[in-house]
Amino acid sequence: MVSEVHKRIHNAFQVFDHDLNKTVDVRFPPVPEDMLLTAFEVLDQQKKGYMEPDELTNYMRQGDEPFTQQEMEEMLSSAVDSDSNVVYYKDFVSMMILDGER
Amino acid sequence: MGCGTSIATEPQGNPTFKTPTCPLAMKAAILIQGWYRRYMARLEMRRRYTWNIFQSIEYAGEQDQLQLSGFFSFMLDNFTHLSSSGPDLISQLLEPVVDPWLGRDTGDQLIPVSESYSGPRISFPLSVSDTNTLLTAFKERQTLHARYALQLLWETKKLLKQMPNIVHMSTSYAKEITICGDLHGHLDDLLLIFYKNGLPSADTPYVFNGDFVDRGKQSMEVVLILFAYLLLYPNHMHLNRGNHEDYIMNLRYGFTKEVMQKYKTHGREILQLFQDVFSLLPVATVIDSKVLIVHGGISDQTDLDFLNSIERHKVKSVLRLPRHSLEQLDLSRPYKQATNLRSADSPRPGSSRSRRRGPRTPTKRKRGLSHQDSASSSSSSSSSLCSPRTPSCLSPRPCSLSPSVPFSADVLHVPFLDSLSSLPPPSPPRVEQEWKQMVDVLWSDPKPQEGCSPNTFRGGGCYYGPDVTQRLLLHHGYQLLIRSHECKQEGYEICHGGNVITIFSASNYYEEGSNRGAYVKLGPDLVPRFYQYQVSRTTRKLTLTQRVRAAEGSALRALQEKLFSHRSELLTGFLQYDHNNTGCVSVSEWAQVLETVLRLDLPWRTLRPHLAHLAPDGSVDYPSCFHYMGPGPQLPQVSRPVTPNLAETVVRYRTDLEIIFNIIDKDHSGLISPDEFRHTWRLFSAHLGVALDDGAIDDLARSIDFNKDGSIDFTEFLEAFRVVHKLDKKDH
Repeated sequence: MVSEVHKRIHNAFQVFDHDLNKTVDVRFPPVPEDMLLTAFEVLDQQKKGYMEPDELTNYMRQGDEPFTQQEMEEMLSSAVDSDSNVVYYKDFVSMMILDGER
Repeated sequence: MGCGTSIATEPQGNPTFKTPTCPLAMKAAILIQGWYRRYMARLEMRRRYTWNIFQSIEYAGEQDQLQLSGFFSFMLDNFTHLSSSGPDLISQLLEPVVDPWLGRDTGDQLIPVSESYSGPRISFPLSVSDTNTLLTAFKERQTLHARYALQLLWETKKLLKQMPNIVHMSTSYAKEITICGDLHGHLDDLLLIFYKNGLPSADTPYVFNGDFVDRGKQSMEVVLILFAYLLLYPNHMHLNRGNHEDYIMNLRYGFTKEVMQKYKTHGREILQLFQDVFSLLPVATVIDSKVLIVHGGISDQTDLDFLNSIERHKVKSVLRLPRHSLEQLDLSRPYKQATNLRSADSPRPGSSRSRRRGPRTPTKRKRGLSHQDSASSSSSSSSSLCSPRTPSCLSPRPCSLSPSVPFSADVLHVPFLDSLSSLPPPSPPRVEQEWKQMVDVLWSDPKPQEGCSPNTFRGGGCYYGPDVTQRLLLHHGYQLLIRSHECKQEGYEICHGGNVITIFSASNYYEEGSNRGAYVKLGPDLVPRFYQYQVSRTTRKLTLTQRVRAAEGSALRALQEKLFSHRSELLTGFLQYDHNNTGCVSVSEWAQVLETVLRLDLPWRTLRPHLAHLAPDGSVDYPSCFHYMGPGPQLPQVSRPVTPNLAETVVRYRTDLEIIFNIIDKDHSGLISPDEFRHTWRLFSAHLGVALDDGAIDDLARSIDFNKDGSIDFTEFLEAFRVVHKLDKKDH
């Protein structure tokens, strides 16, 4: 009886256990790549295909839970292209998605 | 707060009000924030399991070493006089020639230094200019001439003989004392410490808390610099012995090899001298009668007065049990432990052992628990007897090259190890008590739980709880225990309610970027102040992602090799769930088999995507976790998967074989003669319990074409094991 209930609870959780590691992340659901890219395109108002670090910082410092200084620095350290000093967000997103899926 | 142009400085709580950004852009920004934080959370998870993999595999390696030293002890005491022919190579290497207290000739016959030698030159007694010369030369990657190295070691040995086991220091003579932990041959870390903190001197006294050598590539330089400063400032420079100041550890972890490569002619002489010098290092330092500094820690048996009274130089290697206790052993005893140990290991359906556990704590480890009742030698919980009594039980694994015997039956039939562990505990004589005191101090780790238990994860020493620490500190009126021995991400860690500090000074220990190094300073107030650093070998600054990824990659490769080397046991485990031979088991079954066999206490479900593929129905395609093939040429697949195949055996024993090879290859030329090869094989087949008579070994030796040059390199040596494997199979 109890085990039957447990099993049903277990099955319900498993729907959200994307990595099958008995962990359900309730905070940050996974975001598909295309949706993420759309989000960056929305922020890139002039449709340049890239964003200035200040521009990105501006947005990330908004909202209910704005980025801390440390989060922002960490993000820029991997997002900013060292040659041009701007964020090519398409490259950034695909790099991060690729890494996350490893 | 934040960037000057930011507009998000309004009170929080009403997103539509506080920002002129259009709602869509706001939504986009929040989506990106959430996505990035999720990514970072996962990165942190990866960083943690990478750390766990490195640590688990490191400690598993220590267990292997203990098992191998059991093999040496056995050979030394039993096998060598059985073999009538040939010189006894093992004992030549392992036995000290002369008692260090008698002191051989004190370097009277100096090796001449040729005119063409361009390295550093020093003269004795050492002066500040000599130590400066050494520092400069070693920074430029020069090697000190064997003549000076030997002279330095002789002088060090002479000095150390006068030192007590426990050295007392006082902060009143200097403003602050600096304490450093494990260096492990990381010269760059040592130089960085000196650069930041100042060179050793009367004003800047140091304590180096053991593990100067092994693992890093510049152990020789590190230890020579430390000894030079010890000679220069004997009252302001103190060196405690660590568990790696031990010639048997040095065989596996690189110091022996490094010395032989740097000193082709005089390497063996230098190593002999190191054996003496290491055994003469003091084991503890006490500051202001308040702070105890030892390498590993303590046990509930640790008695500092007794420790101070022992003849420390007699403990050449804590991996060697005192000889007389081996002589009491009756090697003909049956292997009565084998069955119950095995049953404790076998996977149990329905067991929930593999469920993810909380923070790793030592006592949660199941490894080796099964042997405690059989191998513990005293009523105390803190049995620290490591090799050769317990190792076979600590890492149960098949030890036979023979494919004809199912591994589950012979898993513990390493004859000598088992018979040792099945002995009735003799009342420990003084020599053994001395030895135990040393093991506990050099090998133990603190644990958060109360009490004292055998250190089954490392295979030697014990775990001591806060109560054990408290009792010892109270007894002596101390207030702090400083120890090293464990790599910590931040270079230091405080535990036992502030009573214990772990200090570790080798940064990037597991991998570039894996950890910081640290040292701690104590002034007269005895309040510890920590200083952290990290040596950077690349000019390019790596991002967090890049660092985690690099470390993760090498951790996973190490783990894949581990899986491969336990292939047959794992397959047997999988087949218990896979009755229909589909090649698939559920994720939880897969995780359970891995943990049961490997006992690495890792988050297997999280690691699964890196180790095995999923079948379309969501179950694990378990053969896919063996796609990694061992080093060397592509090896043939076995038709019957359950028998241990040779590739697997060779991968598993590769390190052991390499050590043995290096012992036999006395001049470290990388080549051994066929005679030496036969001798080695006899030793090794006895170790593994493989019955193979001399004739068969000679056949084997003949069957290998040694390039007609009469010698074998390491690749041929490994190859020989494959050939014998085939011969062996034919016989049955």
